Amino acid sequence: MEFLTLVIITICMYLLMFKPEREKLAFGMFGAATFILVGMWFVTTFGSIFGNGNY
Amino acid sequence: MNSCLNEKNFNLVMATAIMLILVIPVGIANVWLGYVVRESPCALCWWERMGMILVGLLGFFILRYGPRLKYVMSVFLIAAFGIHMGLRHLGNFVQLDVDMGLGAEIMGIRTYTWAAIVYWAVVIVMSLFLMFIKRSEELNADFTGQRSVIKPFSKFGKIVFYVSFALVISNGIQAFFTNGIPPYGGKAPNDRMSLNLPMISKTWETYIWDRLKSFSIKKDYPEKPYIHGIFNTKKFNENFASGAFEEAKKLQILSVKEIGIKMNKGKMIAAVSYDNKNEEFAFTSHYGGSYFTKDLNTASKFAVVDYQNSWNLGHTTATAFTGENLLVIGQNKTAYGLRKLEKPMDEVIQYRTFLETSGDYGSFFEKNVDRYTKDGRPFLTTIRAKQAYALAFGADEKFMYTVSAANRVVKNVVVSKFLISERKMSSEAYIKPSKDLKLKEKRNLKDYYVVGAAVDGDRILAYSREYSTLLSIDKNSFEVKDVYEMPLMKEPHSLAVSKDKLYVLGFEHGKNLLYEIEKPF
Repeated sequence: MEFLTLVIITICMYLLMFKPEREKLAFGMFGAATFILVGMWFVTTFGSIFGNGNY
Repeated sequence: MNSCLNEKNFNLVMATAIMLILVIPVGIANVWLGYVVRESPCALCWWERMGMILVGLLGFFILRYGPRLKYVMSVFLIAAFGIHMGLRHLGNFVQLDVDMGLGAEIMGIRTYTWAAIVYWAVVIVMSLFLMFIKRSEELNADFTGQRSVIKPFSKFGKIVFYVSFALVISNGIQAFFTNGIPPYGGKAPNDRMSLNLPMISKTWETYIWDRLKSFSIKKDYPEKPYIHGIFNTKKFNENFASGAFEEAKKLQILSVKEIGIKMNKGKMIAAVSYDNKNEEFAFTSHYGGSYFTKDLNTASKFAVVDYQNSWNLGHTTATAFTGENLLVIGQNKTAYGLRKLEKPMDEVIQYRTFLETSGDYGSFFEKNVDRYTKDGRPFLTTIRAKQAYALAFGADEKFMYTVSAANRVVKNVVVSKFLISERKMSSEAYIKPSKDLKLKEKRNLKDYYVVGAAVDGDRILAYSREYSTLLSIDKNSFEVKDVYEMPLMKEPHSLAVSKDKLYVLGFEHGKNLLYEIEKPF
């Protein structure tokens, strides 16, 4: 999933540099990457939202 | 506008900021740790790194289209999430000993800790950028949506962009080789960075998806210990025959007496201890009030510590005499002590330490100033029982002993021994039966639930309410040498011992009871 996210970010950066008129598409790709980040973080930490510190 | 807070300078500072987050932390992690040290991020580190890349990416959006509200807002949202990620990750290791943790250090701090620092810095820097936006008409127009233009990158901006672009691609290569393509994902512990695809592809894993099978708020956190009326977390099987032992001598109740002493708070008395020298009982509430009595009805000597302030005790659960001084622990193994005084206390010290007192006791642990500082309320920290509470406590002249209440995280009963003078652990073990003690087939001592303990000679007597069993444990080896069947009582908890009797607290219809039980040795 990390690889997929970085592919999306790479495409987003390409659009920013070479197709800046496609702002909505670029921001959509940013949103997709963020969605995967948040989603995968919660998948990875689903067993516990907090670590095992002394609360 | 002549102010230096203008659009041109904003873009220069923004490009620098992108470089500081994307090129430096992400670059060091990817190039130095990845390709030189050959360390790859663990499952959580990857997403912390990805968040930094996304913050940098938002910087390029701001350079390209201006500081529009949605970009600025997104920076704060990702930074807030990043701080959570860093602290959550640090929480996995924060309880370990010095320098223990996952992966390499950068300037003495591990990468997951750096994550929290970096995102915290992002919040501060982005907040300062708002000053630029306020002082520049052009930036203000971008921010409020009155202007919508595509801006060219400056020369410096292009350099930062291409370096960042290369780093993102490089991170993609690292992610592909170490973690693979979907649905493969993060690893923890992580594998080393390798470009040996035939071999590394055999290590690709999907195990993180298994985590969706269970959910909890806190990791490895035990249920509260059973305290009647406060934490009713357990139902007991009080039948001795259901336990691990075939048979044992059954002890008899000699008498049952009602205790007339009222606690400072709460109806139920938490703990009892017996001072053989003065032939005196000490009764302690769940809220730090201790009362000394000989007749069970009048307490001429007492001390109620300032329970609310200073180190948290949870609820006080157990007590033990060491000589004429009384030691007390809370459920979380935080302790305090009452030292019998030769002369009255200073009134200021008395005010600071106690809510109420007869003037007979000061702080046991405090060496110089008689008040409850960190020294006055030591943490009895353990290793095996770190994630377990304690309802049982004993002491002799030199040592104090805690007995843990087993739970879903710590499944064994742990005895921990502390040198009183140091307040530090001396030894510790899971209780196990001695070789002379026969257990039923496939049974062990894990399901015993110790609610009271007392030291008697070279033994720790531990009373398990589960299976109504008295375990006699060697003070040095922590082996269970003998067991006895305890009689059935009403809400039994806490244990004290005199020369010829055992004492157990009971509770029925709002009344505190003291069971006197024959002593088998």
